[in-house]
Amino acid sequence: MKNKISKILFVSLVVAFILIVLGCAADLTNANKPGALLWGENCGRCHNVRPPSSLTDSEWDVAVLHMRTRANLTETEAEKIVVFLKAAN
Amino acid sequence: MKKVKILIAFILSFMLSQSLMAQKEQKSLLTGYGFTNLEIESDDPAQFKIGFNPIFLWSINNNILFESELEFEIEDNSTVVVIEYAQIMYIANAYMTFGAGKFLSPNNIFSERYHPAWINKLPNMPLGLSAHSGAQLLAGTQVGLQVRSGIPVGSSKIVYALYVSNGPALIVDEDEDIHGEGGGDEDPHGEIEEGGHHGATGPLSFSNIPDNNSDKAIGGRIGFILFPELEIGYGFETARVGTDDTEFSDVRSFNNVVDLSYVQDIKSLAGKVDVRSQFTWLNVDNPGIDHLNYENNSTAWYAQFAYQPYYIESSFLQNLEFVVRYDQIDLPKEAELNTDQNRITVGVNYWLNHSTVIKFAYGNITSEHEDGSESESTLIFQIAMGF
Ligand code: HEC
Repeated sequence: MKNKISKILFVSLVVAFILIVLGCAADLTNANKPGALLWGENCGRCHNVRPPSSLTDSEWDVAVLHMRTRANLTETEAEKIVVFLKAAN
Repeated sequence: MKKVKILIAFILSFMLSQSLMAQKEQKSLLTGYGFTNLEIESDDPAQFKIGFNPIFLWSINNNILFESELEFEIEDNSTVVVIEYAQIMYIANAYMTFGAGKFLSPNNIFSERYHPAWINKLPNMPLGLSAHSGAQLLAGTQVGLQVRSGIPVGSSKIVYALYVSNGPALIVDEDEDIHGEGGGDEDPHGEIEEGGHHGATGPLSFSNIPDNNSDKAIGGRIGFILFPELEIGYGFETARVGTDDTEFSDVRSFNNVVDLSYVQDIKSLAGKVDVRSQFTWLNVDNPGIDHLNYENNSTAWYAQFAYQPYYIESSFLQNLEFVVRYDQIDLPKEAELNTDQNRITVGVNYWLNHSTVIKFAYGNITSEHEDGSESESTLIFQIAMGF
């Protein structure tokens, strides 16, 4: 039992390490991506993408806040996505 | 009936307040989903079933959100209402969002992300995730506090969630359901059901309220979004599950979950590929007493593959989605609820729009009994709509 847990922790640590190395090497970090790209990358992972026209500006504010908490989006991601959705609806 | 009237009044006043508040800082959204199923099983009469899950969201500003979902169902001729979740969330800073209330269990991505009928690609839930389909190994919801967020690491991201909650309870007495909520029949609706198991001892009840002991469960998940299309995660929950002041009071449980999700548009395949998988193992201490004197270890897992030929010219084919899922549950032989099961389900969906879908699924489940195995087939039609 304990063994299994430590194995998993170990694997997680290794993965985290790889991530950091990979992450540092990549040139387009999330912070530099435009809203439309962030929307495309983040909003179709769990369910079909809801088109911008499906909600009003004020509704998008609430829905994106909801998704920010559910999908663990960063502040920058959420802000850029909401700006994109409001411009495109 | 009365409840339904109250609901209608509630929704109307919500919509009114929504339009009045349109220009104010406080904002709200009435959303949710509904579905109708037709289920045909080999030995039982065919049944129509329905579900209606309104979701109410209020945000006071960009940092404070109240999220709530009610679940309406018809059971034995009466409407049953359950608070699926009701949580106040506060975004404290870039690395911490706090939540308090009843929330979807963050250690289990099926429950947190994939269970709503318009999101779940098959009309029923994988084994081990609902008390209605036999043994439940993982909580669908928690009552307590959580902290969560996502931390960018270059072009990748680490997401985490940690919670303390009432946690699960060990069922020790036959016919006694610790929380007074019974596990019902097979319930393949794709909603989260928490309940005990009447007449079966050994499994856990995940009903959350009231807590049977003063210890709180601790759980969480860490996920790695290696690139936007791929996320892998590890979730856990550790809890004392025995009831205070009983001979079982020291019994603890430990839950591990690993999950994978991969969604990618693949132009060469002219469509979108969606892979979801979750593996759970649950260890409950052996109290060494009476009918619970056995190694109480169980596992359940599922893997699902879906393909939608998005990029094909024909608008009919574009909206079709093909799904196949394998799921399995293995329970301790000595337990009363000990039927190991495995199932293969294939489905074809037709998407009327991004969140309205007609699903056809055929499942074949094999149950292992002491005197051999038996298999049963089910056909489910569902129409589901997220709004
Ligand atoms: C981690 C998975 C996940 C991701 C990523 C995600 N969603 Fe969602 N989304 C959900 C779930 C689950 C629901 C259903 C809510 C429920 O039933 O509790 C939902 C519901 C919605 C709804 C219906 C209204 C609501 O708030 O419930 C909208 C609109 C929506 N998502 C838009 C988005 C957008 C825009 C993004 C990208 C920023 C996004 N989603 C990313 C899981 C996700």
